[in-house]
Amino acid sequence: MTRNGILVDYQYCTGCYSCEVACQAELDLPLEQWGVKVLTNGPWPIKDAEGNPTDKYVYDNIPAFSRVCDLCAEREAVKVDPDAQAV
Amino acid sequence: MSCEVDRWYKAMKKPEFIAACDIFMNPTIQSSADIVLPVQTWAEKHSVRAHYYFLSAITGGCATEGEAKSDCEINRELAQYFDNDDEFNEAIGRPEGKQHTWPWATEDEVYDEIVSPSGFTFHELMEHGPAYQHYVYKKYEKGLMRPDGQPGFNTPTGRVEFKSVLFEAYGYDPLPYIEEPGIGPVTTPDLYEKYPLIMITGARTTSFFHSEHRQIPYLRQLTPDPWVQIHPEDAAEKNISEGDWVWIENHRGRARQRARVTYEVHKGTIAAQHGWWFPEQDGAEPNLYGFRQSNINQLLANKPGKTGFGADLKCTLCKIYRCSEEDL
Repeated sequence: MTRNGILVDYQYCTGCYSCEVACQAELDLPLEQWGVKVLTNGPWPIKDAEGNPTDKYVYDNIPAFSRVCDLCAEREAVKVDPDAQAV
Repeated sequence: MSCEVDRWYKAMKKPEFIAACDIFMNPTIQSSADIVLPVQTWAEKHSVRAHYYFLSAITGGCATEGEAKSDCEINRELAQYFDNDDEFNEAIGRPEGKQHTWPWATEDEVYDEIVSPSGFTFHELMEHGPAYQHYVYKKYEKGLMRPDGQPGFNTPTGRVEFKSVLFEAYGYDPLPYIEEPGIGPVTTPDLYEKYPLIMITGARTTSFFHSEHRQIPYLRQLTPDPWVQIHPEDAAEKNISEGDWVWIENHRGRARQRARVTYEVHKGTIAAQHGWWFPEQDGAEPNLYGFRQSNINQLLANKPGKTGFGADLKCTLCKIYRCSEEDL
């Protein structure tokens, strides 16, 4: 049986936090409780073999989904294309 | 408020009468407006959008909060009041009396008038969705870009101008150039002695738009306090740790923001946030929602560039130091 999941490309995540706010709204979560939370690693410079900092950095935004994520089941069930014109 | 905060604050106390329309109370209207009219948000009212390349109706769907009216309805009621007021018509030299400058009985009729060149009524436009103009390509070949109807572009020469003949005519350099800002290590080395950090400002957070949205809990939770980005070596020098409240100060004033110790800025440069005020604080004078506390514009000046355009708003010199217990 197929299952759905959410695929995130960390190369593209800019850390805009739209997912955090949208999820709180969709699940009606109170302030400071997150269905998905964006964690940040960096920026910090990568060091070379001699221990000198190079001009390459690690700077990743990593959305982490919590157990309350239901893959927007309510929206899925209704099967309405959000881009379609309102009638 | 803009830069030179005290100057603006005093200036805004001088006019005889100020009326303001807004969704939320803010320090500016609290301190300077004689009358404040609450307005509806976009969700509560009908409206029209006519910028860029399409025309569309905005359809309100929520019940209005309290006594708020739409900006259009306020204008309509005011215009009809003045149209019909003999004293006003006399005073402005319109002795023929009652006018019909705004003859529309309802808001929707105003919108009908506004969209009428499209051939739609407002309600028809609501049904139809966005209406686009007929696209015409290569207008420059067809004489459709210039007021004189000649082919070419709407410039003095009719050509695309890599050098600006207008600028030249006014005695300015016709080509773009780079120069040092009015305050900086090169232009004001004496100030740089006292204020050894370059401050930039104006970068955005996703939480807010300029000074908006500080009162929206679901946005404020993303950025609860103003932060200033400081390079780790600069922070270490001043014994500043992540999250410390620090003063950012120069010869014009100071503001406090929380330290975000990060490699996101160069050593020797800090990046401060703009637009901060605190709707949760006391709004009465003199506090006015704490608008001076973290207001970075207190370090900047309203000085336009040579042509009157542009300003040295993005950068200045400053120093930073931790806030004391008493400050907080």
